[in-house]
Amino acid sequence: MTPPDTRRLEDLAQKYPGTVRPRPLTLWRRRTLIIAFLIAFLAAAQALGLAPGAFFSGLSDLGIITRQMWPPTSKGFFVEYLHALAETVAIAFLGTIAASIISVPLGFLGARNVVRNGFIHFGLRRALDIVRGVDVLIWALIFVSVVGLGPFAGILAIALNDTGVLAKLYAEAVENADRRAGDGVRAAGGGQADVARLAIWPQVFPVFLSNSLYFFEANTRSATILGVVGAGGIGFFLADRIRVNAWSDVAFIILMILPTVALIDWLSRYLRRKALGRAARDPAPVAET
Amino acid sequence: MMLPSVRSMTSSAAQPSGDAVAMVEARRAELRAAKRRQSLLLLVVLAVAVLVAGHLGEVSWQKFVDGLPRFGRYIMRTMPQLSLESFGADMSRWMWNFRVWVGLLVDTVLIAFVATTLGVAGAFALCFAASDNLAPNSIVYHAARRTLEVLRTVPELVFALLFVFAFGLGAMAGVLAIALHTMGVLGKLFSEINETVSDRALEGVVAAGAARGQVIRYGVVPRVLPGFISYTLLRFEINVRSASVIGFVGAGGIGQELMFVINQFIYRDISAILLLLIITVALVDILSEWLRHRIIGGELQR
Amino acid sequence: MLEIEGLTRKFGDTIALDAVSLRIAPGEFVGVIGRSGAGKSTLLRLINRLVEPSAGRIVFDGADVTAKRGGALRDWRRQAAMIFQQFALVDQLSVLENVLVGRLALTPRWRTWTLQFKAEDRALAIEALDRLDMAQHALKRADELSGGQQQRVAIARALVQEPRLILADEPVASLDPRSTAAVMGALKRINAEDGLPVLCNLHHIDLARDYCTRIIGVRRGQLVFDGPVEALDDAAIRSIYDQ
Ligand SMILES: Nc1ncnc2c1ncn2[C@@H]1O[C@H](COP(=O)(O)OP(=O)(O)O)[C@@H](O)[C@H]1O
Ligand SMILES: [Mg+2]
Repeated sequence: MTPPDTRRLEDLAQKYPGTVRPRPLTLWRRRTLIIAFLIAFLAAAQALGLAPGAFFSGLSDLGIITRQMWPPTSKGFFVEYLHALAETVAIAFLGTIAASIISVPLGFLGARNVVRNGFIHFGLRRALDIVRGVDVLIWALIFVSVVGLGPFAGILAIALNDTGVLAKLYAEAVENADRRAGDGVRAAGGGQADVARLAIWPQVFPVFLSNSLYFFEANTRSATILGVVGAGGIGFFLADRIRVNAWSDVAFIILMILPTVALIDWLSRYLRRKALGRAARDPAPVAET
Repeated sequence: MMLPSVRSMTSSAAQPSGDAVAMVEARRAELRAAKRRQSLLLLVVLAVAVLVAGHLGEVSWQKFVDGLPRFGRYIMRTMPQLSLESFGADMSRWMWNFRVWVGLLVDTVLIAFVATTLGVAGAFALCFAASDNLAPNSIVYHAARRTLEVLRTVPELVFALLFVFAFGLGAMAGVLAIALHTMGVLGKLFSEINETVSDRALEGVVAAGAARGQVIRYGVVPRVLPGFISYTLLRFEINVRSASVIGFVGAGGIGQELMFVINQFIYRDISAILLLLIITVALVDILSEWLRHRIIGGELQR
Repeated sequence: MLEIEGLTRKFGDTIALDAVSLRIAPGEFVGVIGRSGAGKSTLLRLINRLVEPSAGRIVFDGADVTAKRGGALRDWRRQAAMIFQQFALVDQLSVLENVLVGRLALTPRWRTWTLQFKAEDRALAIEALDRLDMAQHALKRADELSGGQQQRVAIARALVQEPRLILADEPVASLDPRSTAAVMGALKRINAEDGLPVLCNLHHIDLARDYCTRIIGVRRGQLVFDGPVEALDDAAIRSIYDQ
């Protein structure tokens, strides 16, 4: 086939409108959206005072920093760093465990099919929204004010923040648990507590476990920075070395964090697969930081 | 699943062949014992891990007992004094710095918006090279993967600390920090979506003589775009939360003010700012949810 | 003129195609028959270069196709248009855009980023759809169509490639009898009107008899029959399908 001549082209355009030449409306709706988005982006950058000049001059400073990062050195702090990393993992671990334990009863209380009282349901869900809406680092800062500097504040911050997310996920898992299984228990004369224990628990337990492991992984990442506000872990050294511009120490610490996080990732994935078999899939990436 | 009613039924029906029942029961008991041993071992490992972690995390019962009521008192102190008679006046006293705070919260959302946009652009640029089915060769593939891995493993706050030094105090450092981290996270998620597109699905485009970029544009992008958009909006929601704390290190947004009032124990301001922050976050979540339904339900998925 | 010499493809220990040689002249409608797993798809995919040969040569009008790389290879793929059993359309694109995929190799690359094509290309696509009685569906999403309609869209995509050869891999195996007649009829018409050679894998011998001028029989990777459709008697069929 060779392209049609002008007359044939016009015939086709007439016979099948919107094909040979796209309808102006379809074309312009797309273009308008793209242009509107670009304008919004530029306006936002303008409002934030982002200037290309500052960007490029900063880039050269960044280049200097990067060059000073090599070679990474520990300056004899290797053992201290190692201890701080272990503390980081411990914060994530205990925070996750605490949040998981608190979230089980909250998850059942927050599920519409277990607790039918709309008031409890609504109140609990909003409370969880509040806890979740506040970043873990804010909680860490507050807990440092309450219990003082140290990893304990970090553990409490992670436990509280995760409860907000986990309890909501748990509640949704409970609500999604197969209804008929519950009906079976009810038909056999079981009460609401029996339904929860016999029909819902076996179905939701794997979901709970998978989420908790996934959060352990994510929390290890967040725990690396808790030290910036004094809530324990490797973040303290990191922030300190940056403050005094010891860039090769910074590089050393980052190079220690990367494999640690990778190791916890691997461990969590391994355990998830082991506990759940092939069905193990990553939960929604809400927790991924 | 073993329901009580079912269990009683099966055991009565199996009555006649006593031997078989005994055998099955014995095997079952064996399995249960093995399973119990395994659970016990797991429990012991978990308990040891908790003890070690507890030691490292400087956890003590005393701290907990002391801390809990103190946290309660802390929260109570932040509560504003509001009464029905003078509600308006109380409210305006509580929210005395409303305009400044809202301005900083708007900045926070804008930082998240600009950073998400830049991060998505970077993620989009790299995600095809980081997909095992679309990468031009294994060197490019591994380079792209490693880059994304590093970007997502380094927390945005660490980037922010570095960038504040290079670019100075302010939003520029925060935007770049969140953008880089977002690029790492979304780049990996995008490439995972790309990998769900099978070679077979692309054959129609490849066999017509399309180049690699065209295969991606015509065979891959239309299929993966709804997933990309969905992840992007979720990330935007998360980035608003991140943008609320990068101010802790001077990288813009509400964070610096928030850190100041918390460290100075200005209790009423803490609750006022947190309330405004929670409302902002909730509004952003609602907006993003609405957008997701509109875009993914609509025709814009090419 | 398509000339194939000693074309061989191994997958590990399996010899999917074993030293096949044949020539196809302009205007021929060749049916390729054989058991499932005999190597029919491999033959067509080798010709389009979706699969690389282990040995042997493909020559088209004197040019060595097996040596082509990069842009030349893509241009060859455009000339050897493929039609697949499962249609291989992109569900999320419109029918028109799916047909325009056939123009990608003939369009400057920068132009194709935004899915915008020149009016001439779009008119060509509409004309191809019109030939297959599908133009009224041009703005629908591809997955809104029935299987028979989707296959006709795929044929339209092949047509706008300005092909020199059509390779159809079991184009009707997933279709009901009425759609089968429509699709095979369309291929036959294109073959007759445009003088394009068609190489078509078929499951049913009856279909091969109805539409083809020449039959090629493949058994376990080897060419075991090659002759005019009239020569396909029971003995020949047994030799193709028996173990
Ligand atoms: N990509 C591949 N990888 C491994 N083996 C393959 C592949 N493609 C085809 N084969 C094998 O080659 C042989 C011929 O396959 P094919 O050409 O698809 O046969 P047909 O189309 O005649 O059914 C079969 O044994 C098949 O299993
Ligand atoms: Mg086949």
